[in-house]
Amino acid sequence: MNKQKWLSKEIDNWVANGIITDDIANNIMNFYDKKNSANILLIVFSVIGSILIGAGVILISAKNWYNLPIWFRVAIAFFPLVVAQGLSTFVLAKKSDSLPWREGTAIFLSLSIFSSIALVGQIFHLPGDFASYVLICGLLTLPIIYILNATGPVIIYVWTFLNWAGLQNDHSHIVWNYGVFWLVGLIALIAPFIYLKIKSDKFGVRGQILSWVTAIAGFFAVLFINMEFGRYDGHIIASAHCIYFSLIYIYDIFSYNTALSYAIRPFKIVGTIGILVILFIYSYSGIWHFDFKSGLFVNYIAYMILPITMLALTFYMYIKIKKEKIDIIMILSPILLAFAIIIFSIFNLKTGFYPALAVNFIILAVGLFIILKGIKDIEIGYTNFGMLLLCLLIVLRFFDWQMDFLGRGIAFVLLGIGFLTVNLYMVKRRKALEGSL
Amino acid sequence: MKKYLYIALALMIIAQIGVPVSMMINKFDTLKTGTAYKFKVEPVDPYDAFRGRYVAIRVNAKSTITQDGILYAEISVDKDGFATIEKSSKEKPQNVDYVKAKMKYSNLQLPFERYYMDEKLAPKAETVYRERARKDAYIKVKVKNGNAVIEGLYIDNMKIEDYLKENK
Repeated sequence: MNKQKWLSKEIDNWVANGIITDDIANNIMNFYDKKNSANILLIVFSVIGSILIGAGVILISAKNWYNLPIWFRVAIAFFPLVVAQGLSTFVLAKKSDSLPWREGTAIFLSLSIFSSIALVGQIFHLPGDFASYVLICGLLTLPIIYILNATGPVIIYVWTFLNWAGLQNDHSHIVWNYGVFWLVGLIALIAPFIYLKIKSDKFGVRGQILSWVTAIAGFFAVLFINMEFGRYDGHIIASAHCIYFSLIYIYDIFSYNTALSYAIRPFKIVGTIGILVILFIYSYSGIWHFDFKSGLFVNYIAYMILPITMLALTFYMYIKIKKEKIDIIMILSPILLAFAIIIFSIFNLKTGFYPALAVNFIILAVGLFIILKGIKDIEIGYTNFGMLLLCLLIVLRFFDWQMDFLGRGIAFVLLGIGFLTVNLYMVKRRKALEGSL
Repeated sequence: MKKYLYIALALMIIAQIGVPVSMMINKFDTLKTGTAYKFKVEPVDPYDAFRGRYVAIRVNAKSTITQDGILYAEISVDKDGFATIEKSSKEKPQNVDYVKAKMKYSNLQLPFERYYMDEKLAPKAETVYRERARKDAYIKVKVKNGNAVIEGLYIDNMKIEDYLKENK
């Protein structure tokens, strides 16, 4: 349910109960209608318009005008950049209160940086790999964000440094130790802006966009930071992601708890999906076979700073928040899984059945608690989501060739008993409720 | 507050103009007054979404230095008039033209590795080169004080753009 819908429902309620009159109700609705639609529409149009023009400029510049004199091509290269910079100065001086102007101009300026540098490279046939080109453009985009107080270029900047980091890992034979710290530095340059924006405007358009970008970009950042381990053991990356998803899940409870709808809780959505995907992956017994190259923890002690910080943050927020059963299990199970993975890695354990069984039970519990919460809050979508999870679990286990028939049989019987118990419990509860009415 | 924003804006504009300008430093001068060399190349056609179509050019070059880092590749001319690179040094060589190059992952990276072309012509350039039994393809490079700028890609002693126009 979005704000608007909630408001109209509440207003209907107030009118019905005689708190306000019809006229006042209309006035309130009109006020919010105007305020919302006009502003958002303008921003969206100005941003899309700028993206189209900017992308068009990039495409036009990518066409090779080799028959024009060189000075003329250089002039063409700088033309959009200078126009965009002029526009930015104008916006800062005269239109700094207008969000559509700021966002649109910022996007246009960002894209014209890409086109200018590309065109200069093209004119002089300059060498240069894609990764550093993208990073240089990204760094030149960064000040626009702060100066024009604009959100659009954040997406561009985040994309550039993630792209750069991803391409650094391309050469798998290079030890990328120091690159990790560069990546952390690049994140630190944008973190204050994102943090303050989300804090002040988390349910507004800009706060929402930034939350989505952060939640998803964080996944890639954790991936690239830990990529080094991937060469030795991909499980370590998964354990880092366990901690990451747990962290954003708890961050959501910590700061988005007043949200009226799940749709405006990006961290919860990304966190939940991430946690569930990892749990499902580790619900296969085959994946619990570890063959680890030792010596890693001595060489890569610096990498531990990040997960330890994330764990500490998670712990801090865990104490602070009001938890429901489903939250406890969603936060703690990935952390337990991360520790299990690390312990299995260190000792090169290969007994897959029991940990996989435990993960299956965790998923079962998650599904059940989601269903229960859905029933309690009368949220049919939530209940269905829980059902879907359980069905997925059942289907996956039925076709799981890595578990023998006995194992599968036992798991199914246990699942069945679990289901029946929940049903029984629900029937009892409903009866008790009806009895009390 | 706003005053600082303007200062920041000015600095940003300087940086945004400065980076592409710094990429062009010496390029005009080198093109005008540099010495011309011809390097034999093998063109292949890849694509760069931002910077457009180009043909990747591979110059046959050797380096006497194998450690990663900046080096100076000396240019010599063989009996057919084509330039070759066989020697390199850590210091700027005297009395001989050279280009600043890089050793990375034990590969010699010369400052000419791509030749940007019209999007329709670039794939043709590669095909023509392959079909015509690998006729001599070379790039003309202007060199001055270690700076190098590609002037053109030639097949059959004709600029590739003109060659493709005539042999449609």
